[in-house]
Amino acid sequence: MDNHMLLELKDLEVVYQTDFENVYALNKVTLSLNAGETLGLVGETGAGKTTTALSILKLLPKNIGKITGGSIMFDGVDIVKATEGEMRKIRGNKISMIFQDPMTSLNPVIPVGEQIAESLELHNTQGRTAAEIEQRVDQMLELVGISPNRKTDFPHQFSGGMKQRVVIAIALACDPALLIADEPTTALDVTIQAQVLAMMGELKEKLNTSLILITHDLGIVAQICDKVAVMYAGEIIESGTMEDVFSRIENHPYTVGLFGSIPNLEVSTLRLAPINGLMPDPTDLPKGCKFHPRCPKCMDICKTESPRVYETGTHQIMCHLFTQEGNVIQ
Amino acid sequence: MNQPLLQTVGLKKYYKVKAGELHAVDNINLSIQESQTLGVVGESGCGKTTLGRTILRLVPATSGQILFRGENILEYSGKQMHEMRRNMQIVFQDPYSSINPRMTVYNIIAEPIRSSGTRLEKQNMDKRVRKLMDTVGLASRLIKAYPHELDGGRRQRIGVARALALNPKFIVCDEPVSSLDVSIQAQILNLLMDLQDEYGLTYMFITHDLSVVKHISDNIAVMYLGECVEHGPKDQIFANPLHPYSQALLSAIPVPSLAARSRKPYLIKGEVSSPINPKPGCRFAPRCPHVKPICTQGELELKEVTPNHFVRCTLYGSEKP
Amino acid sequence: MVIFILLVIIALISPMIYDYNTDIVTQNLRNRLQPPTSEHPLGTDAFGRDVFARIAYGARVSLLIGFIVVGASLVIGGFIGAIAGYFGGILDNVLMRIMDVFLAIPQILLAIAVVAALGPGITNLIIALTISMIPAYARLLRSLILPLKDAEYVEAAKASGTNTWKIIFGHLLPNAMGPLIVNSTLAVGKTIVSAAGMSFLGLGISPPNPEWGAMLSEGKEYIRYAPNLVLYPGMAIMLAVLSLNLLGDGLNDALDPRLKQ
Repeated sequence: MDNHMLLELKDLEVVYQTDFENVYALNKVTLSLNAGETLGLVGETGAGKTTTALSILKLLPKNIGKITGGSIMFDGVDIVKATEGEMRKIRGNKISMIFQDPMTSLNPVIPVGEQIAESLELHNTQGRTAAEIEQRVDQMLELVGISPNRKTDFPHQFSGGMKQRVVIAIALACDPALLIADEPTTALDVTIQAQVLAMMGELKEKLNTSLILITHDLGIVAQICDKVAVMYAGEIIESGTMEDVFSRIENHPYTVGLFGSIPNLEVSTLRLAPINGLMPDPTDLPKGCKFHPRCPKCMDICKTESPRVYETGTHQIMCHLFTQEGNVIQ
Repeated sequence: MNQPLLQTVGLKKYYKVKAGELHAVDNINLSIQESQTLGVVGESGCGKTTLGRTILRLVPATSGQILFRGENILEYSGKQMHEMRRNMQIVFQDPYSSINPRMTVYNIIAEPIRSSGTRLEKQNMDKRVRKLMDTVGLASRLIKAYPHELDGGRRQRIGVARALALNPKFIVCDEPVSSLDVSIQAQILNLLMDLQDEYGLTYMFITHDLSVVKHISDNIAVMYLGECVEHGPKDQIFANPLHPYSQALLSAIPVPSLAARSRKPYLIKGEVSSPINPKPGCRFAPRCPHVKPICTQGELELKEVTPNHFVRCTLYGSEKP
Repeated sequence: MVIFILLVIIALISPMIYDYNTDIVTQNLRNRLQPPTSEHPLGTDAFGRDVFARIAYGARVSLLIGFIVVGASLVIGGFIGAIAGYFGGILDNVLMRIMDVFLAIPQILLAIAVVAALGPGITNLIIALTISMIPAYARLLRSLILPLKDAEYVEAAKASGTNTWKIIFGHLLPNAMGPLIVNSTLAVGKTIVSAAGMSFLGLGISPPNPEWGAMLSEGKEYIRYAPNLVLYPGMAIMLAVLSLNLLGDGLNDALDPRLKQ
């Protein structure tokens, strides 16, 4: 298995500009992903998860969303500098995206088989014939656990979980190097979610596709990811391997709060330990550490200076609590 | 055992649809003791929301009884029911659609008080609303605010304050946290539990999220396609789920720990079938890994397997204790 | 907005400047069909009356008709629509089928029929136009109420024992207000045109009372020699309708708390 670096974001900054205000959506986001790896991007609404995904595909809303700094290297191409024409060749072909709601991401008046074939026809770099495309469509449907006989069916004839399978089949049809899944199971019931997650886990092994899984659910991350990055207010405040983050030896106070907010199935607790307060207003982010107004361990330095990254092995935490002890690597 | 605060006896709600009869709530027998929480769990379309609304008489029941302190409220006249509504309230799932965007926070919270016929002078009403806002943790400076100025968590607090306005005994919480972010979700759950301790509230907590239900409930009822397939004390359901559907539901929850990673979830095939004109027998049979011919022959009864722990499944014979 | 306020002001102050008897009605045949002069800013008509004065007076009549008709049909039609939409079932079916019957007849034709039955005159014109507009409002409100009545806040209100009328007037109507206001201001414009049309056909305001449509009708015979007789009342109608449309948009934005920042 070749494990070269597939995607690297460096100090990525994105601003949404409207007539009234500037929304600082991403602030110096740095991420890397090797081929075949699965990264879980965790955070709450407004943390910048989806913005990160849209930046990688360069699909930020026109005239409003702007990349104001940093770089995105994908397989040797700098996406920030790439032209629209170059991007079109990458999108759907080398990078695919799955959206949250399977109901709206399928065209209701086109049979699902044709929708899968469409992306194959668009990116027909291997010179497939019509028959070969048809064959590939059958193969894709089988891969996601749908009988190829159903390819002439319309989306409304499928249930929610089946629709999401079709969406996944479309996304994987061109054998992309990277798949970005934005809350792929949030709209599904738990038993169906379990089915879809299990299938995604298998597919990822089989196809060696890299996956960025965007979710707010730490449980889902635990199930299928290799690496985790926790986002807060447009920053990655903690990242590392599964073991680094989930062994819960050292964590960013926000990550601690996230764990504390989830009722634990295995241990009974009388009271949850939530994070107080609300996400900061992205048009007016606090000085210093963005989390300090909600942090139970806030110190004076947190209010004035942005924390540096504390790094042990693969584990990175952006917090003054750790950098103070002198383990600073910069 | 004391008389339960609320009890349903053979409660049914059928809807007539083109294809036949939709059994949204079918023969539900539940009881909730005062100051306790009954968690109702199930996936979309299992009828849990309809059950909550039927109990509050927001939709008319098809048959059965709803006993509040032993009295059947389905027989109440409009006037009696109007009085009764003081005791039973609801908190909704979506804090965006459940409060009127054209009303101020003050008016939203004051509305139930006005509607109940209680005449309060402006000053006293003001006091009462502020007190309620304080109870649910809303800053009183927001009293003149409109809902769109507030985030989901605060809106849900308004929803809770509105439900509390009449000092109810019983509140149906219909997925009150599932559209909120995790950190806000925990804040609202804590608030609901604090309120229960303080005012001795009784909850029926409807959700699809088993971890939430485990956290907040005393007893749990698992619903599948309009029927209650298993109910019992929380600890027993979680430690020893009997019904294959409960087992699948439990194992399908992604647990945020490393240990859970190696565990293979117990997957069930297929998806929920339609609750329209259901076939006799177990409704879970088409997806059940343990299905036997007997499962689809005749109606199944809820059996008490261990004290207070009931299950509707042929795997558990009545001869077993 | 500005145009509309100007029109209202003109309508209000016109009686102060011009005397109804001497300036508006009295004929002065020596001054027939004069082009605009400083004395008569928009010229005079076939009977030597000042066109500007008549337009100003006509604004009173037209706006009055517009607002009364829309107001009345809004109240009656809206009420029918709201109860049909809210209660549904048989009541809904019966009410809406009756409305359908009215809707099947072209509005102007219906109005003409009513006036023909009652005879011309301002009051009858208003009644005729109101009847012809009721079904449209019943439809509109019903369609606005339908999606709203299942909203959770309505259910919450029911759960707290709020009575039906309070739910309809306190919750549903305020939320239906936006489209209703826009539609109403558009309808005032439309009514002015309809009223003018009726007068033009001789079924509305009878001469010598000034009304824009009637003025158009009178002026059409002289269109070759004195186009101003048609041009100015026509422009008045257009301006009024345009300003009402703009006003509707403005009101919608102003009344929605969500759009206030």
